[in-house]
Amino acid sequence: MIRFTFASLVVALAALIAGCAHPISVTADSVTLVGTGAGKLDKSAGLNISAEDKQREVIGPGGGGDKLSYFPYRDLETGIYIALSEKFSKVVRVNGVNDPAVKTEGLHYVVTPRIATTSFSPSPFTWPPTIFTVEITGAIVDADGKTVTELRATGDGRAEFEEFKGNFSLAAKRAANDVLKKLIKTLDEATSLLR
Amino acid sequence: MIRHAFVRFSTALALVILASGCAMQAPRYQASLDNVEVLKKAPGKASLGAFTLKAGDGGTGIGLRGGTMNSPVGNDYAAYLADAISQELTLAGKLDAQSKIVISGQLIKNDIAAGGIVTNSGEVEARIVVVNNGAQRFDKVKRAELSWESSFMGAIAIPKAQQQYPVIVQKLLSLLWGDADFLAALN
Repeated sequence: MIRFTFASLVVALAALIAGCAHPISVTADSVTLVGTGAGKLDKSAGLNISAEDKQREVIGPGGGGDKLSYFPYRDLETGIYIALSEKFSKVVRVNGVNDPAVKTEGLHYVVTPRIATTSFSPSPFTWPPTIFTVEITGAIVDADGKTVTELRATGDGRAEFEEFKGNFSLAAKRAANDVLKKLIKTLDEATSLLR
Repeated sequence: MIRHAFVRFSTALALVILASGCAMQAPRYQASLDNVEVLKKAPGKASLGAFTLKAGDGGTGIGLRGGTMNSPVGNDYAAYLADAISQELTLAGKLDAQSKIVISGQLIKNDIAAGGIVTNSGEVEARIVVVNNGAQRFDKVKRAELSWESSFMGAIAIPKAQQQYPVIVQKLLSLLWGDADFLAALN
């Protein structure tokens, strides 16, 4: 009887745990990116991340068979804004190329980033990810919607137990820092196309 | 089945113990672009003065189900608030270390109640003072609070509570930047 009660308790708790995803954040130390670009162009850009994307929740794998939950567009928006601000003299948030702000603000370009992520942990005992990757892609289009160049930057972050026990999002944060640094570099490399 | 469930139970138990016993860090503040857009309309630039604590234990560490969440910058959450204000002023182009308009502050309340299994809540309250060329131009207390869905499981409730802290600070700053008296004091 005691064994049965214990087994029932374990099964109930396992079901409770399995039904939930552990929340992490994919935010970078964004302010440390300020001033890291190679120089600004006298051009302005609109950053287009829809409200729908900002509310998009990703459920991915963590350790121990558990799942993670995070909002990549919401978490990375400020970092991407700063990365663009390292290349363009003015950056404004817009809702697509047809947003009236593109004309009224006299924007030269609109950037619509797409974000893809992966997460992994080989640990059977701890849920935070030990490896996390973020890829940012997307076209930079002019005010007429014509593609000027394509962006692609990939970052990865790793964190072991001794490091992440005080910050469960550490691998994701490192991946976010890495991808944003590479995005700034990618923008610098595209300078001649953006003049 | 029972064995698999036992492993999961042990894992969860280990994480609860680990999460409870460890010192954790709040996520570093990330500027809110909504706040930055408001702050860009400020008429002048400002520098930062001293940020101090009036809070009790929450000023140096926030208790989260037996663990303690510390500030990732400086020695306390007054430094966290100063960092948050500095970040948003920087992104708005309104921070100037030479400016005679000086923003300073005192953290009065700083706490998260993470013990609930259905909902949890947090609050941050701070007194903000603006001095322009030696004359006090603004002195108000701002308070932000937030509540969110929580969980029985510490391995879910604790990281969720950690993530809410910068959101509460963002809310506090949105109240500050949205105060017409504050913006006038930057003139």
